[in-house]
Amino acid sequence: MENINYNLILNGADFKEINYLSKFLYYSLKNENFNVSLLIKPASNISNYSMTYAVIKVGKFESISCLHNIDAVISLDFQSLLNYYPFIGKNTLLISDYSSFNVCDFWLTDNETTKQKLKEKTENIYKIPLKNIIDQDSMGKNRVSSYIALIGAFISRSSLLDLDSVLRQTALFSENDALKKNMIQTILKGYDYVTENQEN
Amino acid sequence: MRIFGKSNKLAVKNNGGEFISGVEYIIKRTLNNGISNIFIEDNIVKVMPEIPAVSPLNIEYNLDFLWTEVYSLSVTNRRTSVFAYDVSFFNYVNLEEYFVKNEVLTGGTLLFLFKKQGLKKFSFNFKSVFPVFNYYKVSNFIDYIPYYFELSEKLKLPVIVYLNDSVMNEYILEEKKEYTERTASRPDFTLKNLTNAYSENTGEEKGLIQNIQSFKNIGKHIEFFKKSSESSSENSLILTDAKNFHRIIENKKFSANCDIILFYLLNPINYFELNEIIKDNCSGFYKNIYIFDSYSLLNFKLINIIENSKSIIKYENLSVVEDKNNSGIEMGFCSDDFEIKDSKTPKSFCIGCNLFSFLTYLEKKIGNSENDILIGENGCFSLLQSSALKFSFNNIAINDNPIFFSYSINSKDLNKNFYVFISSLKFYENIDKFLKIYNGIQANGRIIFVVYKSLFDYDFNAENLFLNPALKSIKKNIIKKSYRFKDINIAPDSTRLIFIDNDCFNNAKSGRDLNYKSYLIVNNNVCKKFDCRLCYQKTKCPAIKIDINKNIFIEPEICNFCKLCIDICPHNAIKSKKRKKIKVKKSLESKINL
Repeated sequence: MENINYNLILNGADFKEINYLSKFLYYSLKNENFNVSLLIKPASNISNYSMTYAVIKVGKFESISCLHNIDAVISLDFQSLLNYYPFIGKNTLLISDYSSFNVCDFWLTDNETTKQKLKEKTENIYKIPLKNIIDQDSMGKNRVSSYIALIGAFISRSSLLDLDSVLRQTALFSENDALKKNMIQTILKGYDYVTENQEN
Repeated sequence: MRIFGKSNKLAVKNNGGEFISGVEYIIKRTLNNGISNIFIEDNIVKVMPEIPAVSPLNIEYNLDFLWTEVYSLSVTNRRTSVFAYDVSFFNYVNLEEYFVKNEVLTGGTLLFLFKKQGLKKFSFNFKSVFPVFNYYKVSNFIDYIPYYFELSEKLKLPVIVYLNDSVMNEYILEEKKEYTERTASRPDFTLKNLTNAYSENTGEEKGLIQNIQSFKNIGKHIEFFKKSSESSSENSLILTDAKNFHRIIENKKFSANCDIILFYLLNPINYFELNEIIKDNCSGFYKNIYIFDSYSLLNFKLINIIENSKSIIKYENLSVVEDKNNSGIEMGFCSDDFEIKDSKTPKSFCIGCNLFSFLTYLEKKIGNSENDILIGENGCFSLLQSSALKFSFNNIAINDNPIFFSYSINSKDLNKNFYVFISSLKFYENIDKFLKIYNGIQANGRIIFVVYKSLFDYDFNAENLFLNPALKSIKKNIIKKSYRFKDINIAPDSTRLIFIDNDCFNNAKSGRDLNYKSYLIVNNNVCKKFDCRLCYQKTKCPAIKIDINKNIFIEPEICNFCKLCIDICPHNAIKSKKRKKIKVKKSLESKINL
């Protein structure tokens, strides 16, 4: 088992979605012989709506203080990235959905001010308009949530994971072949979008 | 109002000895609403030659020219009404460019379209853009005309009243009645104009007035007031929301010599802010105090404040007013009497989980929950977030450990009913303390413990708790997924335990169940103009989200389909739809195993 200090945070409002995505990442990291630990936490009243997040630590899990050195954040809301604003360093990866926003957050801050604030800290910001890229209606009966494409974007930017090992991991999560195909396509779409638009 | 057919022999003539046709009657009533222009299509005048006697009229022959002129008038904020056949409206070539795509329109136009034979009803796509009302008789809609003008000014769109052709043949006996329609000389009562006038009069900034405004209705015109120094015993105070505001002002009898305070309930205020505002503005003696609160947001705050500050505000009667019809837009505009009730609790609800349906069940069984006390745990999502539940219960307490509530009970509260909501893990830790309380209860009211599985202990098995030998002697019910609330029998005077074995989040459709059959659609053409976002503010539903273009939409993956937002939306902007089955063609890719 390898030990690397790498802290990843999955951030968003929906509990089940994060529970699913974090397990997806957890098993695919374990497949590559990493020493991984996972922690899912509901943090209420951070920004006036219920928010849950998952901390994925690659390496020994000692305490929650690993929050202070974040290497990557994958978030389902763009504006709730500001909750981690003091912990963001120069090299941290920020990957977020840029098609749907929480209504409450939209009052508090504009999208442009958050963009300017985050750009002061890092330049590795990737905003992915998921609803424009992925057609859920064309998937038919076996639908797949569009947030999986964020993982594909994470794979391309970080040197942690290989694409093949993650795609192999989809066999665990899918029951049918059609579902498997949809999963792979959404991951690849997120992967391709980041590689095509390198400067965001 | 009675309607007489042309062939009816019993029809009574007017004082002048003539009948009034249905179209003419509509024109007479519309003229009282500050209209500067009326357009009539040429083909209608040919059918009914009596109409040109009514003035002022503009009869147009060139149909394209008619619609361009209507458009130009609606830009310049003048009220117009148009009478035309629907065929000429649908054949209008530039309809989309003028009315649909344009954002310059200020509204104030009413289109009366007469149905030609052979045409069906409006399609859904058309209805989603324009507000359309279908009618067959004149008497059904004649009182709503001034309301439609206001609605088109709010929406900034022309309102369409779609009439059957039989209206042409209707003849009506004019009756003398005092209608409360406004004349052309009166100022406009739209909220935009009022806010501008208020800021000019008082010199305050516009931003400060967003929450509250105060008016006084003196016979013909309205004055703004800051402090009611002249209030006498005959006056009465009215606290309203924006929905009922225009109805109150138009009612002369009701609101004469009243101090009116308007709340924009869309921005709910803090308790302390509201306390200061009311003490500043409405000190004095009043005969009656009426509270119009159609969404029951500020209802209890206001009553508490007024009752606590009796030294400053003196009154004889305090009453909460409810509407007769809850049908939303089709409310009677000129109705003289509202139903006045005593201050009572409205319905309570919670976000789409089990607790909501449980509380509604209890309300049906027991009745009013006026004096009930609700004690909840700190961690419960639904208790924390639902502001509506906080408003509906007078007494609500949220603790870290709700089992210790018994220490905070006063001797006065012994007759009341208690509902204690605990998560199963916290209940499991404190079973001994619970048994102590259970054995030592001497209250007249009853105590119901509701134990639920919460998000925080999703690995905990609730069935082990249910089989615990310490709880053998206690009456208890368990609610599973297949159970209904109807099957439970709660005896009126007994303490008991109720386990809810469902997750709060299990019920909600999210994450993996993506094969939703029905989903909700928000009509953003209507929604953007009001910009109220009540659907989010009242429910705090995580499924309601927003676009880059500020379009509100509901994510079907997260949506529970509880339809709360449909009930809350005052503008009927949210509608439910069923998803059609998509047949995917079997291609080579689907056959190949990946």
